[in-house]
Amino acid sequence: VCRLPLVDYKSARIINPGCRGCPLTTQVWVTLPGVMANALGLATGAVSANTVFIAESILFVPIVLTFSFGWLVLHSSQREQTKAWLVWRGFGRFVLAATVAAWWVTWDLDGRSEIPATFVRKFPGTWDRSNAEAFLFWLPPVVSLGVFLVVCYVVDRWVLKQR
Amino acid sequence: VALLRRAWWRLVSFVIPLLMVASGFRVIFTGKIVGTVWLISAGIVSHVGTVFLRRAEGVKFNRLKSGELRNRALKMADHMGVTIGRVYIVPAGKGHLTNAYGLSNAIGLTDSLGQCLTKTQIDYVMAHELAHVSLKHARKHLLVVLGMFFVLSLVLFRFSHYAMALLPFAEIAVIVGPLVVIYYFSRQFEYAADAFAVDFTGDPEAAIRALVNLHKIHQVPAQCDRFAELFMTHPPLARRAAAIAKAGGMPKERLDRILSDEGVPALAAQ
Repeated sequence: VCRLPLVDYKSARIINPGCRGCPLTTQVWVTLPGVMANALGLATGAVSANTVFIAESILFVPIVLTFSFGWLVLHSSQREQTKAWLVWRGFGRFVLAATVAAWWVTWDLDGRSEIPATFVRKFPGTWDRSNAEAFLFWLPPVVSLGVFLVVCYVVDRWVLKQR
Repeated sequence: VALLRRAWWRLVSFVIPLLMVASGFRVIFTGKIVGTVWLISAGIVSHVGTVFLRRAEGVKFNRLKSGELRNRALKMADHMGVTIGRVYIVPAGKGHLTNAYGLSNAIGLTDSLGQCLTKTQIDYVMAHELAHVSLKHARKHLLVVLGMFFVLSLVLFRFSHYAMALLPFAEIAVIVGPLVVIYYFSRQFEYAADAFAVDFTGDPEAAIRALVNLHKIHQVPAQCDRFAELFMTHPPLARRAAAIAKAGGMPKERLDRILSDEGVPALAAQ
């Protein structure tokens, strides 16, 4: 029985290279995580240089897009307003899910170490590192998507005449 | 304040459970099955959040103790072989709600339905909600969610090496994938309830006209692209009307004429 290799995700290398002497298909199957990890390691390197910037962008994109879309809708003709706004609102659940997924990916690529470190550096003495890590995984997406939802509801009021 | 309350409960019903799912799978990826506790907690938080979100949206279920609507609903339930304990009326309220709800053993209708639908159209709406009760969609929905997360946890726990190697993809898949599956089943339940209701009422035309009227009130686009549909709990009007026409044995020309009558010419042309 062939053991699967252990992959050190951060350094993108296989710790236990696996199973010499196994059938070819098994070897391919066993080395696949390593190949993927190598590719992802390159991506991680690119992301980690700008982790905080990427994380901030991910959280701002839904708000900026909603503001832009809301502004465009409110400046279009009365007839088109509702239709155009409802098209954007149709993507609401996707925006929420995609933002959470993107935030989680960034967090696990390098954000877990970079984001709390930046926070502790900017606000020294407020939180220690471990508390900041727990706090920062939850709060930024909740605040960002909370603002996104409030903006959506405000535009709903104007466009859909909901009180 | 009302907007903030709605936004807060939307976060509690959707975003916070997604973050809890992420935390749970992060633990499962490291080979610890204890991450499932996060997933169960996410389900509970989502349910509580949804209840409070409905309240924040002004959905109040007032039980009907007498009246024509209640008698009609109970009689229809009896004919359909469905046992329902209660019929609720929901005030349209500030959100201008026009909707109907199928609960586990009850149905609810907003008081504004009578202003925009005819009697036969309301009968279809009631039959549709009773079909949800009869086909036990609430229970099936719960089973789909539980089963899917159970299988996903088991697979990712067993193959955590691969999950770790493919981490970003695995993370995106476990957040977006379950939602797509849940909404797919939700839309299938709507099609099933439509077919059941049309089979009972024998009036596909009333069903299509009722749906068109409801779409007009909510100003929802009649069509949407396949990608947007992935995240919708209800199918778009175009597909739903076509499915009802098919279930009711209505020719396409007749469907097109009804849609044209109701002022949905683009859809009719398609």
